[in-house]
Amino acid sequence: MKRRNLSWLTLGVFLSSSAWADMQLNLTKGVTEISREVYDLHMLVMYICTVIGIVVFGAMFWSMVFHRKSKGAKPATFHESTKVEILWTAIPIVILIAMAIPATKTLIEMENNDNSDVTIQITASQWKWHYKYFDQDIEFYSVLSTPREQYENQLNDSSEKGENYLLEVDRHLVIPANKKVRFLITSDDVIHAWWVPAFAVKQDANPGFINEAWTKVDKPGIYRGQCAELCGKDHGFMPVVVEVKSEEDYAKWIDEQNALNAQAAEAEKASLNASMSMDELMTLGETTYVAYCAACHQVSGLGLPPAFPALKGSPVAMGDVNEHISIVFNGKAGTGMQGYGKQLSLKQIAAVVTYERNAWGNSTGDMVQASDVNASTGGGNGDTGTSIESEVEAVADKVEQKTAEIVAVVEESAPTEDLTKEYSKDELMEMGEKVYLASCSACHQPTGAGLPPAFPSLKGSPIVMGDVTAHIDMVLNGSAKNPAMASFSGQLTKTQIAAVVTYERNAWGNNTGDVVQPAAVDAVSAK
Amino acid sequence: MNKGNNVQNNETQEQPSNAQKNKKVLSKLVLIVFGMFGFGFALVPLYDVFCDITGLNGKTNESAASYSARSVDETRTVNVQFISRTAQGIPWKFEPMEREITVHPGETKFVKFYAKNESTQDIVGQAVPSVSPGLAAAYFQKIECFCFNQQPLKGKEEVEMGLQFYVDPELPEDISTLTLSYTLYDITGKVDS
Amino acid sequence: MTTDTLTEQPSADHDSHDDHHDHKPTGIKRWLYTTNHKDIGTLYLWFSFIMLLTGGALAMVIRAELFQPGLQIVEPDFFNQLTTVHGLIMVFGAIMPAFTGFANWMLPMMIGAPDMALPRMNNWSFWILPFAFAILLSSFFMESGAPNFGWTFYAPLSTTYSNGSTAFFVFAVHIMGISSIMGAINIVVTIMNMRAPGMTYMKMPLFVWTFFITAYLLIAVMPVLAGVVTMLLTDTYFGTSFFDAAGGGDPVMFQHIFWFFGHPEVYIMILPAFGIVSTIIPAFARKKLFGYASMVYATSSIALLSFIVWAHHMFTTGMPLAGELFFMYCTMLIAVPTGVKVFNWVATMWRGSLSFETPMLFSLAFVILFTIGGFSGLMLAMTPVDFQYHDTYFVVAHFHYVLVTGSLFSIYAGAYYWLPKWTGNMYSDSLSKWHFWCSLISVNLLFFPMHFLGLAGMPRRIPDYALQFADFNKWVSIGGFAFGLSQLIFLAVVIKCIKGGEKAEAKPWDGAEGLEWTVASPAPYHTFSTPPKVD
Repeated sequence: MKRRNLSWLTLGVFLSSSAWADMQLNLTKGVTEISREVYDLHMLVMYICTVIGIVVFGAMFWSMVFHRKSKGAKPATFHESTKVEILWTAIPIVILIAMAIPATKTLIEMENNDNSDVTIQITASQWKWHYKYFDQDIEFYSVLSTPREQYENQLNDSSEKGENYLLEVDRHLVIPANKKVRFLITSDDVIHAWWVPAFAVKQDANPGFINEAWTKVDKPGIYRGQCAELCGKDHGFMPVVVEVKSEEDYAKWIDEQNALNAQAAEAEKASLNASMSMDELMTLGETTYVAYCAACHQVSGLGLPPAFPALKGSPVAMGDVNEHISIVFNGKAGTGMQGYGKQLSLKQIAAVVTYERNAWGNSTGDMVQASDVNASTGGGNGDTGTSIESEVEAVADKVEQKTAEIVAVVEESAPTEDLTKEYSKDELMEMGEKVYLASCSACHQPTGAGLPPAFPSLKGSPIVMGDVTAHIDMVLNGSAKNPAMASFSGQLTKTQIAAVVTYERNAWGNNTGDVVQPAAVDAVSAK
Repeated sequence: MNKGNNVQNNETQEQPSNAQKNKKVLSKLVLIVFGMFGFGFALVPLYDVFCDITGLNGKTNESAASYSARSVDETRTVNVQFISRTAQGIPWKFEPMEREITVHPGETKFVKFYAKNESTQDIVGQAVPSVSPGLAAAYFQKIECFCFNQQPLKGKEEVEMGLQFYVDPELPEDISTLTLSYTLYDITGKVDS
Repeated sequence: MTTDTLTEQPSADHDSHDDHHDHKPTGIKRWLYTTNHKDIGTLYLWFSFIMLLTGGALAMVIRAELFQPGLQIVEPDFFNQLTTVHGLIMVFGAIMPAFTGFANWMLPMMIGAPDMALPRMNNWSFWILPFAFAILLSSFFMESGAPNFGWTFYAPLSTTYSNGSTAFFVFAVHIMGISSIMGAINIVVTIMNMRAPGMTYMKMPLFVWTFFITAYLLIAVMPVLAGVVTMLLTDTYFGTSFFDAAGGGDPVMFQHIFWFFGHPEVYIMILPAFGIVSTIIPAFARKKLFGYASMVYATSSIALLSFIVWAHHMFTTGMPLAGELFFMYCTMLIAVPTGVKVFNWVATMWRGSLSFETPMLFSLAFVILFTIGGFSGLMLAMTPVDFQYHDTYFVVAHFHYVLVTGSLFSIYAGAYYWLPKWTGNMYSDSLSKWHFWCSLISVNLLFFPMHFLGLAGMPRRIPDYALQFADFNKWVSIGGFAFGLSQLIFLAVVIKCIKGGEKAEAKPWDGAEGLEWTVASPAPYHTFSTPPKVD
């Protein structure tokens, strides 16, 4: 009795705890013509199987109920009947042919990769995706953005899991709707498989070979999938997220990306001139290390030998600097160590190498600057033809130009800066957007989504949605915890800061409704 | 004891024939086993032959093809796209100097790839081609290609590498775009040894 | 060279042995030196049960980790080691040796032979097995860890990117392969040469037929497996490039060769199950098997077809359209002979006189649940839809329905059917029925929701999953724990049965047919020293 109560109780707990309504039981219909055909095919086979099942199991249960010995059934003696046997061979063949016809039709359509409008090169590596737009200069990595605390429950039990737990990435692949998009899929290391259920596209990424697949999506939206081929340790942690935009939005996005690329290239060159202090290098190095290296080499630097060697006391981290930089930049053939030259900025590589050479008792005292990395590797993203000197000159020019621009902006508003002036929300938003795009978007991205973990998302961020004073303080004085967040008090006027804070608090769905006036910024800065 | 004797008697009578029979079957089966073991390895060249015929894995010809197209099919154009990847651990910059060209089947074209050894060490690279769609691989004929040979580059050296090819006019009608991908590998270690 | 020592007139040696002692040696030596088919059968069966529990224990850890989202118990890398070794143990350690055990125990008795044709080789083929698995399992305790690249060990994850366990893995697989090949050779030679006078091929019990065909499959494909792991070994350690694009190889070729072995391997694990079930159903329906000849032909055609369908495991690797169509059609074709088998079983039951002893219960569950696995197999055969199913839990559900409720259930059915013959005692009817019902309910709770998980998009071989999969995973884990525990009931039944119980008659099942029931229960150490006459 007691036990029965207990079992009902458990059952009750399970039923109430589960969101049965949200649960998906069947294959998705998806958002492409192909995926709908696939769904129909799936349903067709399932119905056929169900009918056959009912007939066969029905006959079986019939004899189990009515032809049982306990009921006094006497066994019949019939066996072998050519007629029956031909029948039950022929009927399945007919059914199979009926199934094979639509399957063949769909398959032929699926395999027709020709005449595409957009081509995207997808390269998998352990454990991220790299997307490159064939006819644009746009390429980026797409990495899981679910914070480590959310899935490492051994460490922290309390962390709440987000809505798209394990199915979210830092940068979405963006494709246009209603266009035939062709994917060229390959891999840098082991075999992976690129899969988005809503498109019914699953294609293996084979190292050294390219595979093709295509899709034509009719509904803009965000579609999520995962790697579908065991690819090592973090196979479960490399989701695919595709954002389908309308054609206009897609064109806008392309322009935005091109503008950003230009900015990033400048920032990269500017970093060649900048020299960072040991502390700065170590702090940036640590954030970068935790984000990109710790999955394999572990936060402790002890690695997971033998596949992922320890860095603590390792001959690479303690030995020749150039060798060390080269391995981080280019990877190491025949091992799981991939090159980060395309993924990290020169500054980040410099910082992470410095960090690895000085953390966990590897006290070599070596300091590596971005320019060292550039010298050692010949520049990752820079133009190859030009020498470093000319590059540096060009950069210096651009930096000057940029500074001049900023100064101009500042001067434009400076003489007229009236801290008591009250602006309307629209004015602030308009000015804020400009300032944001000029000064903030390189890191936090025009979409506000940032590049986590180094550059957090502002969309829905606790700082932006929280206390106004703290937010102003952050923009004015930078972050104490994250060195990547610089102080803007010297670069922007108070009016500009007011505008950008207002913008951040109301853009991208952060509809706090807060309007920050220059006076408020002045008050915070006076503290 | 009685039973044991029985066993012995019975088996001594039948044994020679039985053991011989067993041995015969056994040796045949062992032969099959070794045969199948060999067949496993024979699958490697067989697979290559099979791929050659069907273009299964998009591998292209590994040595120079001589130009044998009868004529240029001016009525038809084919887009040829070039993409490149560098494998892990090779500090080279490697990219096509043209991303995409349009050719008529049967027409010979020449394109260049740029490579630079960014490191100070001498490195030998080897580019491995792959064509998609795989079916088109058999129709993509390279007359001259840097991928036929290893490519040694001294530290900081740069080079422009040529590829001369034509698309066979027999290319199936439904293929209008083909993509040639090169992956560049560091084979310095293998060359040394 | 080895063949000479192996074929050394076994029975002569055996007899002189018997003359000296009159009794078999006792203690550990009896088991180490035994060339008796019944002893070796027993060893195989116990070994496979131990392996089932070992592989099951690994599965319990897997299910515990997957009980809820997040990483609670194991690290992702260790998770991969668990899934890999679980697969290897269940395939090569539990299912295959169990069938070899049945073959050893039953084949000579069913064809009226005194022993297996090559008893010494028989001893060897068993005794190298524990070493293979000791090597495999010991890798858990080494610095490298156990193999973590899946039981399918796709290159280059298992070569260039392996954790260093490849050598152990390859060595272990080689030994398992040699063991299986020796076992298979023995079965073929026994069936070909040792049949009682008058027993023509078409008079052999269907059980014998399925083992005969399976043994041929083993001889054909195990050497291919040996070949592919050898290539893996040289690729990893000796600088060859069979599967490395940099050296002119192709990783997809690995999959072709592997599945050329792998698909017949699937039938190696199910054809003997057909044999067992085809023996049991007529016995408890008290009616002859409906179409003996058509069953033999169906089994043979499944075996032949299995050689030309391998690439249906590889639809997403980027095959040309013609290849995809060919493999899709061939795969769908397998449904025909498989259907013939199912229809035959149903027709055998039709208008029979059914009773539901435990072996029959397991056989009935086999027919229904294996057919469900067959249905999902048919769905997977359809290339366009396979793009959605491939490498998801739908596949996991499919092959567990075929291997657990298929092969494993048939092994239980067979064990309950012949246990009285083996031990001489009847087992506890109620306890065995507990085992059946607990297993039946929990196994469906365990594997049925996996279909839904797969359709909803959960990839296989992941240690953590998105939140929408949480509810079903909880149920699946509970089913898993229950199924795991249920198997201990079987252990209890067997131990109780060995210790004693109601004495079994020579033929405890009134509907059973076959030579094995003409000897006493328990079967004497030597049977059919004088071959029986078969008419």
